[in-house]
Amino acid sequence: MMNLSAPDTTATEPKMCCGLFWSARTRRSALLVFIALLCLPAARTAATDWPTYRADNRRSGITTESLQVPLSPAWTCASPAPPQMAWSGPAKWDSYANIRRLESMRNFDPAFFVISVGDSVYFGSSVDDAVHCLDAKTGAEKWVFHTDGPVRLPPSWHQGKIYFGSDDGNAYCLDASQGALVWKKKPSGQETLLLSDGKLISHWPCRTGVLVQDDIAYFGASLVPWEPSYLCAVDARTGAEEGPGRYRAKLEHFTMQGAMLATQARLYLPQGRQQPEMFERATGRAIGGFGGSGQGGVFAVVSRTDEFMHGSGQNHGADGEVRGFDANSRDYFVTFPKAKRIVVTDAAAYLNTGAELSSFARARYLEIAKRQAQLQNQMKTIKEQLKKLGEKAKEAAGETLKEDIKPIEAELETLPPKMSACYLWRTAADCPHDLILAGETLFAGGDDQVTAFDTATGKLLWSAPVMGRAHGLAVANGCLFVSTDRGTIHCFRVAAGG
Amino acid sequence: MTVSGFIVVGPTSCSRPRRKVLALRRSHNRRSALSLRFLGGCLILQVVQILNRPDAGIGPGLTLVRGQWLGLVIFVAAVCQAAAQPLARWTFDAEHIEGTKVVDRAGGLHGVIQGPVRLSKDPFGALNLDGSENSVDVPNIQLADFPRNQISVEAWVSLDSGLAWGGIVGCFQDNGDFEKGWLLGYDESHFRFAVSATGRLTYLAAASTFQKGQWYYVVGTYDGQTMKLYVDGKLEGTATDQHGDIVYPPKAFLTIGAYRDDDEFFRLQGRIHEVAVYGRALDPKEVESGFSAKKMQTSLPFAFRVPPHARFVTPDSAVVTWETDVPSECSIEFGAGEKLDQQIRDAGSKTSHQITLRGLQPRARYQYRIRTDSSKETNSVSEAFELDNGVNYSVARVAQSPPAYVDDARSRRCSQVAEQILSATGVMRGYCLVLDCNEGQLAYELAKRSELTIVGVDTDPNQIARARAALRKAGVYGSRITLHQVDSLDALPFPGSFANLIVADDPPAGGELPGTAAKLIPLLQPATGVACLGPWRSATQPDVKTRMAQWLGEVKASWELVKSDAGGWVRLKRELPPGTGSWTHQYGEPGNTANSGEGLQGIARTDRLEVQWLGRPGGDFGIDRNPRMPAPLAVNGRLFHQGLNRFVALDSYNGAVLWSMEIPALRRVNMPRDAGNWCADPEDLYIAVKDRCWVIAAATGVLLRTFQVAEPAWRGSHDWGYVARVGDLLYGSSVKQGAVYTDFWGTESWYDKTSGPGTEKICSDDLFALTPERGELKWRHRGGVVINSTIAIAGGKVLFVECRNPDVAALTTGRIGSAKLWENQFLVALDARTGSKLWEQPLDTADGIVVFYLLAAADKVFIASSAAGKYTLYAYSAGDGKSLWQATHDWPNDNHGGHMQHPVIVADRIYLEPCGYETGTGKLVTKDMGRHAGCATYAATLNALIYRGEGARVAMWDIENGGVTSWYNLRPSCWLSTVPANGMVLSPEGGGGCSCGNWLETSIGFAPGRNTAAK
Repeated sequence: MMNLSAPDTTATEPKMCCGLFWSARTRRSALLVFIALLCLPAARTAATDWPTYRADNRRSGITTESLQVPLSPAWTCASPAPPQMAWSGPAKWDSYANIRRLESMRNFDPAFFVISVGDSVYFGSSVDDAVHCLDAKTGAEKWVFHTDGPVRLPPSWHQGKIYFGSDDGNAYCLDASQGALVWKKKPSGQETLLLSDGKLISHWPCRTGVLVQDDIAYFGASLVPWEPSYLCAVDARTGAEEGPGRYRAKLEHFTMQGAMLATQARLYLPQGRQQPEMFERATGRAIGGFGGSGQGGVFAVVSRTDEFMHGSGQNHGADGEVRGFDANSRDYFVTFPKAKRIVVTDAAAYLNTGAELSSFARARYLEIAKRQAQLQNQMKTIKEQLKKLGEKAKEAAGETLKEDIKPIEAELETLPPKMSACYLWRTAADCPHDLILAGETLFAGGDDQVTAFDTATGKLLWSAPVMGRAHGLAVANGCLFVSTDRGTIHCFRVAAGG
Repeated sequence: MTVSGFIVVGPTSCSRPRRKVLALRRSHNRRSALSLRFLGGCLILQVVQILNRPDAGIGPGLTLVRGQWLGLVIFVAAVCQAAAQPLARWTFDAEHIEGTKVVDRAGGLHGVIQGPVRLSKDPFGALNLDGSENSVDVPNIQLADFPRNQISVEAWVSLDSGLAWGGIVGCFQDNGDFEKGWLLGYDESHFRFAVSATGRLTYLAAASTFQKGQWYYVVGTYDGQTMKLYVDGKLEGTATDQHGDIVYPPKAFLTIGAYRDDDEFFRLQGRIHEVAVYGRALDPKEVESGFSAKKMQTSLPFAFRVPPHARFVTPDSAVVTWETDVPSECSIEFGAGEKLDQQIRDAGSKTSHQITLRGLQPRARYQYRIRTDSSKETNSVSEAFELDNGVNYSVARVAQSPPAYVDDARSRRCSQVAEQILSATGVMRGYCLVLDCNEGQLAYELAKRSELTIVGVDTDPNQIARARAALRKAGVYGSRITLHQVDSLDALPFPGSFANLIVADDPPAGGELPGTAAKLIPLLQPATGVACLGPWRSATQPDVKTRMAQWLGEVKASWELVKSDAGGWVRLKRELPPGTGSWTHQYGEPGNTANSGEGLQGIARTDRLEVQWLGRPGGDFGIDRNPRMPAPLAVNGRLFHQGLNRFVALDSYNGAVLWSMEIPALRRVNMPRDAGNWCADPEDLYIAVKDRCWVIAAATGVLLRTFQVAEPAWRGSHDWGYVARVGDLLYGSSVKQGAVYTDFWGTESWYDKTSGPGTEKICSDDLFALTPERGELKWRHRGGVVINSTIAIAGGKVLFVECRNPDVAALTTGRIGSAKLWENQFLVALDARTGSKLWEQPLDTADGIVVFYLLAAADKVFIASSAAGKYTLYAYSAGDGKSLWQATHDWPNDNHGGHMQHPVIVADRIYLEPCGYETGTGKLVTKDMGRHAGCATYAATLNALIYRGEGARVAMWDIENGGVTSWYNLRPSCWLSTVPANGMVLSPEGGGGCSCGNWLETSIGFAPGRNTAAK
């Protein structure tokens, strides 16, 4: 049972539904929306839904909706127990290599992340193994659907249905309004379950969430890398795996976990302690991984300009990092040390390192970063050539190669100042757990607090206390939802008169 | 004309002056100046007169008027006072630390804290140093101005760990033959003071060992002739090797809180309150007064009879227990992170103390320390201990409100039934399977009264839905109780052996028993699991017998009828499958064969085993890679596993955490050079902690009793070393305090070297046997120095290697690297029951510089020695110790454990990578056993070796056909963390911290597989 605090009945923020979903709404709803639209202040951006984990299938964490701060608490939904995470925390340290503060690479379920569509909020629970639907206005429970295992990622909403995975090994499709089962699919078939920290789960739990794109539902079922994993693409309406673009691929040595991502042609699967892997969306064929051993992590985003950013692999380092790759070629080009979250727009990127929030001119910075990576690769190649040369050959050819290095070194020296110059602002911010962008406002999650910053200046605009570490933020239809590691979901709304 | 006179205070042989003029006075006919010079450590009052008249002056021409004499006397007094002052003094309290700057209270040599600034909350004031991230540099030093012919270095310091090369403050280089400067430091157990005047550093060690966590006042002095080392005001060492001026290197660091030169940088773990450097040798009275001035502020060291341990009892509370030597009123100060901002008093003066810490936040890390009544003169405070709530695995309690069900007849009946089941079985932890759970009342009542995780099954989806709704309302669904709708009780999709308790909600009053026994009984945990069926209200004993016989059919199980007020209960236990092994000691069993006798149903391949359970503990539980730590133990269906100053008891068959214990003083590492610190029998666990062996109830985690080392006179000087439990006796040994390895930070503490620090052997000064119930001493053997890694018990004999070299016996440490350890050695056999010597044989093996092991099996004893690229195996008769055969082969390599593998005995073969030999003849049978890859060692089933091989993963080598299989990306610890026992392969997490790879970092229990179709 989720305990609900007293709802804020004064919060009557008018909202409109996302145009994407108008066709599915009744005329009456449309009329109400139209009236509501007329009531909106001219400067307020239209309300939108947050239909999947981190807003969209690229996990951008961006919504066009703007919330005018300050916000007021509307309701709180509290779980009787904190989320029962799939894995324990990271090792305390690498004492051999003198590295402390190792980051977790598989903390994909620290909170009950929410999605919100229209007047409903949905989340999955790793405590009671269910998906819950709440009234976004009051927090009251509309319906609950139980599975036979923990639900670790939020559902995806698509055309009146929600899709999610469970540790019981099934991917589910429910009717979003009633919570009735439409279909469920278990790629492993019948099996004897295993025990995991008080739960009976499948040897092939679905811990990727279910991603829906072009009416196809994608999900993975995977646990340990010595057993085969399944990557599935099924008809979103029926769950059928037959038909074009649909499949049930059986793959070796994968540990798919964390929210799946997609572009038009690719799927991207975080793998916890293994590096993320890229797949051909049409066939499920594995193309290759990003980075090397020790560079796992379950945070990932694909920018609209096809940069794949992911973290926090440990890579022999403390405090984590976000690494950037070309989302198609998988070429590495940049590392942001200590970064926890990154939000990337066409114009700017926003980086959250835990101690600092910053903004930089995306295109220019990444152009320089790519050049830097290119030069470093060239240098590495030359050095490898030098290494391979015998002593005599070194005398003859070595000088030429060394001469080749000089201009590279010279150019490399010029790049860091140029990259620094790309920063638009930097501000101290102790909010390492999450970062999203809503209109012109950045929301960041910290320990026992949520904060808002102005995207133009980095100025702190607002903050509010929450219960626990704020790992999950979402903005939809006039509300800010904050999910914490205590199993609490806070809803904030525009303050009366705001 | 200018002349000058000198009034010298302190030593005079100084070099370049660098002191400002203190006073300058002009008169009509002369100018005089009094200057105080800081000359490399000495203070000189120089009275300078620049005379206008030729008759002026005293001594060599100094003349003073009356007022000037008075001023001079006052000034000299002041200078005398100043002479006692140090050249530099750094006090690490809030008053003298500005950001990262540490103010030099005596001059301008300000320090800079490198790394985090962590100030102790102790009123004494101290900088917490973590051993890895922080220390203090004093930049911009001019070595030419440093003390040369005399020096004193003093420090108030509290160490949390020793180091082979530890530094408190120093300015030196010690690189090969290049040895210059000075150092006040420590080693693993003693404070040290080093000076180089001759070009070689003399490391003078204190006579006494230091206790971790205790404050000490340490002073080293050198007067140009003699080095002295004082601890707490007492002279603890003198050396006269050095004479003349201290020689400094051209370049050196002045570092506080680390041993640092160009080649080494080992940071101190502990606290520093104050450091000072003098330019002269303090005399004993000054040292004594320096100690007296502050000793009361430090509090007395806390005298624990039994050091503290903590048990998590709920997700937000923990009970801390300890014993004091004398009755005391105690309190605990605790808080999250670095804070100690909460205090709880334990009322009453007593020796046994217990305090519950409440309100612990999820995944928060706490510290606590124990203080005796601060109003008393005996006020003492312990070091701060960590309590990490992130490894709190306790189950949530069921709240009384809101209730899940209305208080009706069915509810009351379920309440009564739950009471009776728990009373009849005593099963309070693990998994409980409730068959035909109906609307969940019985599951709920069982959860309320126990720590069981309840799994309910029913065929009726509507019942399940109603039960889930009710239990969700009560806040227990998922966290304590989960329900599954199933098609049939005879087709439950659950792993075998998983249920510690099986009950049925529908009572078999009418003679109906649930499902089919052949399908249900295999779900019962075979070691301690109980099925409790009833109540049989009307059935008579013969009726029950008949019905049970029909129900059980061919199923092997024992049962009995237990009567209660409500009727009879059938209490049923499953028979343990044949070939089930146990891992009770460091190398499997007391003979050190590394073979548990586990048959594993004949399986010798990883791909025929399947994950039975997976989960906690994870990577956050242990020390990085558990550096050659004690092996897990598994017996009677329970698995025990050590982490960082903690251990956990799991159910071997389902991974349920039964209980865990946090013991700050638990840690022991570097097993290849020591004996394990624990062992187990089916009922109890025996753990060496400091000078005691703790006996803990395996089922509940209750500390039942503790025993001290056998020799009463050694109870302040020795710790409990070896521990074994065989027959009806508990075996132990005494090791000098401070000897066992506990360090784990840095490459040195990986213990992978081929010689030198880290390869010294831990040795015992005696061996003894006690009764495990009352601790009555049965016998004690005292001969030479016993090498702990050679102690084995087999065939009614205690076998070991003993060194009787008098120089070794005279050593003040039990960690022995002396070459003489390999002289005057004897292989000894004692009668295990009486301790009487059965035989002994002089021993002359290859020196076991890297490792030196002893194994005993059947009628033979084996010694494995490793050094200089070779392993040598020796076989002896267990009957008389006569040599049978020996064999030598090359190491596979000299790193990642390739030079320190422990042999394994399987049937009539002994394996030591890469070779296998016949135990009877020494005949080589293979040179190609499954090859290790990575830092771990081998364990054996009856059919396979389990080790870290193929891709550095956990692998199995099929002895029969030589096939190698492995679990992809599964990493063990850096010694022995995957063991075969209880019909399974148990791999509790031990590799976490290796930041290099994709390792899975989780605990896993493997059992013969069922899901072949799904694969």
